[in-house]
Amino acid sequence: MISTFNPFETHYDSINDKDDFNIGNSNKNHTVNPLETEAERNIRTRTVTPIVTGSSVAAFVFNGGVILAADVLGSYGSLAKYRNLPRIHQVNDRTILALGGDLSDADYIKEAIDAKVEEDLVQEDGSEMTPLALYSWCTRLMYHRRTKLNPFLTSVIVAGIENNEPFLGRVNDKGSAYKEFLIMTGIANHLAQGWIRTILENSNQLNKEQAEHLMDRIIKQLFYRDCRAFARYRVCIVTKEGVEFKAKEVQPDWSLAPGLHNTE
Amino acid sequence: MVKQHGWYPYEFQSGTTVAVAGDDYVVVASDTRLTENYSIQSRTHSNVYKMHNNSLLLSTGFLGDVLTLKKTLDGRIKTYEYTHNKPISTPALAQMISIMMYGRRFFPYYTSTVITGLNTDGKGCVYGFDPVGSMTEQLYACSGSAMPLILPILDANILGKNTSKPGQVKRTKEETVKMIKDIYMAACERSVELGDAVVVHTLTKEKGIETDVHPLRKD
Repeated sequence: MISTFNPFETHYDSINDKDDFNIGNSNKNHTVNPLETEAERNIRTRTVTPIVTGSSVAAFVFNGGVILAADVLGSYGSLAKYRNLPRIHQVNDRTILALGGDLSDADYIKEAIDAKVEEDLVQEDGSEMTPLALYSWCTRLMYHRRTKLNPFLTSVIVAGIENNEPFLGRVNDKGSAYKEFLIMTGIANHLAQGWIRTILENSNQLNKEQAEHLMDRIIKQLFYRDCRAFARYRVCIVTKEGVEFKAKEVQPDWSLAPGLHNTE
Repeated sequence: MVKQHGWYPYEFQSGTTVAVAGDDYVVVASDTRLTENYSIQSRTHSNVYKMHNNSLLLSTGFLGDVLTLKKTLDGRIKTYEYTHNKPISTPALAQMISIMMYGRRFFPYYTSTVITGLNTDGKGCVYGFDPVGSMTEQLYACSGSAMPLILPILDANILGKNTSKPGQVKRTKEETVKMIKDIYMAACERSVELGDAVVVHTLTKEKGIETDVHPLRKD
């Protein structure tokens, strides 16, 4: 079925909207197209604080590919509420999307992208979303919503293989975007960014095994220090050969802890 | 995640740009550090954008607005070329930017923008804008996070302002490039948001755009 879902379109809420109490009328029967959604008309219905949140996403480029990792926890404040919510999403066999921040917004973005992928698919012209195209599209989506003052409170990471080269880029909730070989969002930006940047800048490009090993080390460090981290996580590796997902679990070593004093 | 106290539609990324117009050249420079809340997000992000007609757009401030401005402009440059069957001149492009920015008068593009290029005689031209589209043609321009540090040095070096020897100093393009590199090296010692590298583009009628990257301190 052809998807008609368009995230740039204003969505008309036919149940909650005061202008439409004639339940049973489809949207097509409106004589006047509503210009705004309920959320845009009423500032109180906009989400300005994230509710169910995902913690950090870590991603970097290695020799011949990109590696991403994120745990599978959806936190509700400090409650570890949803314990199996993967935040790395495969768009096609060379494009990956990773999301952090508000996870309901993340879900919406995922659905929007899947609708777009399907729209491209039914054209049957062989064109496929590339990482750069998706990155560009995400900048427009995020900027569009921030300009309407109804933002997606998520941080989007797009990774993949573009013209046989690894691609890694990030878009934030305000539509700012940049491409970089190392991207960390959330608390990983403070806990791991500097440490890993030094390693990557001082080593010649890592191979796949080294990259995976380093990523495990990052996640372990985040598990030790980030209160919103979770032991179970997903690692995604994109190379020219394709996309590879791995479900892993941190094996922490707390044997040092009893010996540590005065560290608070 | 840190609790957010309200949400604000703007943010500011670092970036400092300099543009100097000469009789037969224009030199532009930008540092390549991109920061967000005192953490370095990229060491290779230049704020100079090459436009389709060989003009150079320098834009700093809120990166989301910078990208949007640049993208919209790219489209409009093409539309101009298709409707007028000629590339847009830099002064016409400057006017276009001014109108586009004023179009967002009540929700401005929070960017300090400068557009540079060569006029029909090959003479360098520099146009500076404020966030709502007010435009001035300038001899030189500096904008971005370290602007307060760099602009008075340019005033002194180029126009001889506030020195014992007032008056304009003419420079060749090589001398200008050297001056700009020296200024960036000095400014990166005093601004935490400036560093990593400075890219210097020299635009001449004969050679087009020549690019030079000079490393700066990375701390």
